[in-house]
Amino acid sequence: MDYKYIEQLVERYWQCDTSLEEEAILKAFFSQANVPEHLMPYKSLFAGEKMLQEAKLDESFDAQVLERIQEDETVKAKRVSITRRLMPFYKAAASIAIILTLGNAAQSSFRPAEAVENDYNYENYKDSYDDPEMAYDQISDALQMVSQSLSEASKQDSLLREQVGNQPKGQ
Amino acid sequence: MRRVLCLLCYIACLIPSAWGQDFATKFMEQCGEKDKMECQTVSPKMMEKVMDILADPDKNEDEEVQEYLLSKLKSARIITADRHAEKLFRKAESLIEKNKNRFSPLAEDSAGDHNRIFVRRHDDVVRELVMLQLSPGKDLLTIVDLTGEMDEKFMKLLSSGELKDD
Repeated sequence: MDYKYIEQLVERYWQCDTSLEEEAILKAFFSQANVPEHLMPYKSLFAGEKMLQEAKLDESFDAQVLERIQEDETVKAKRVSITRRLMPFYKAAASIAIILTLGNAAQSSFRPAEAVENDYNYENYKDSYDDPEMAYDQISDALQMVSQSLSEASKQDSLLREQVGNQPKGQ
Repeated sequence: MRRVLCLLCYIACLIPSAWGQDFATKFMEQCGEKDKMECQTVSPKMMEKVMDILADPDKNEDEEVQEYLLSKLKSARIITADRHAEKLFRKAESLIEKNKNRFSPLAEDSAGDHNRIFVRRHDDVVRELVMLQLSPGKDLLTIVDLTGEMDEKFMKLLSSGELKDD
């Protein structure tokens, strides 16, 4: 038997040149039982579609599906602890803390030595006086007090004399 | 984990606030009896203004000494308390004691417990001078806290006892 026509149709099928009628011929040919061996590889391609079309759900299918739907699936609620719930906040707080700590460390390491030693935060100082004359009087009084104390102490304390480099009067 | 994070946050918040405090500020904060004390502050800005009024070309020797002393100061704080003076004096002493790495004693009177001076030094320069003075008869406590760059000459002039009272 000559299968040249079928072979040509298969060839044209691969080149997408076949019409719907020609594809129907191919499907009909490959649906028959006796297909020559060299065309057997194409059988599943053309006959398979028809087999799928003919495939039908059996009567138990609906019942099976309904049974599956009605099965009680126990949905377990996950218990999330407060710690776990607040974890993002902890992470954010930790990040901020680390950044602040590193920032402070970097800031202090880049400060010159003099600034490190003279590290008083004068920005927070609030003057008690608006008048420089009054401020001067206050400082003078304070210096006077310190001077008297130091003077008294240095008369008695040789270590202090060494520290401030003073010799008591009359020596 | 949570404790570590809390500790980190606490440290991070504490560092900037703890940094840069002089003794007077710490004492006022930690003493907790602010209503019993009075704190007079002369800031570095006011100190500059004070220096401006001292800029007199015809000043005498005493004024020159005063000008030199003031030029070495950056700030001055004077705390006075006329109630519970002895208790506050002991608190100030214990606060100094807690910060003994920062402050070293410079002088104390013969009785050893009513007049004490502490300094914070760096590179042979006194950065902060704290004087605690208790007048038990008057129930009066005076704390003088000076910051600046008080060099050897400054300390000599101060301890010479020749400072003239205006």
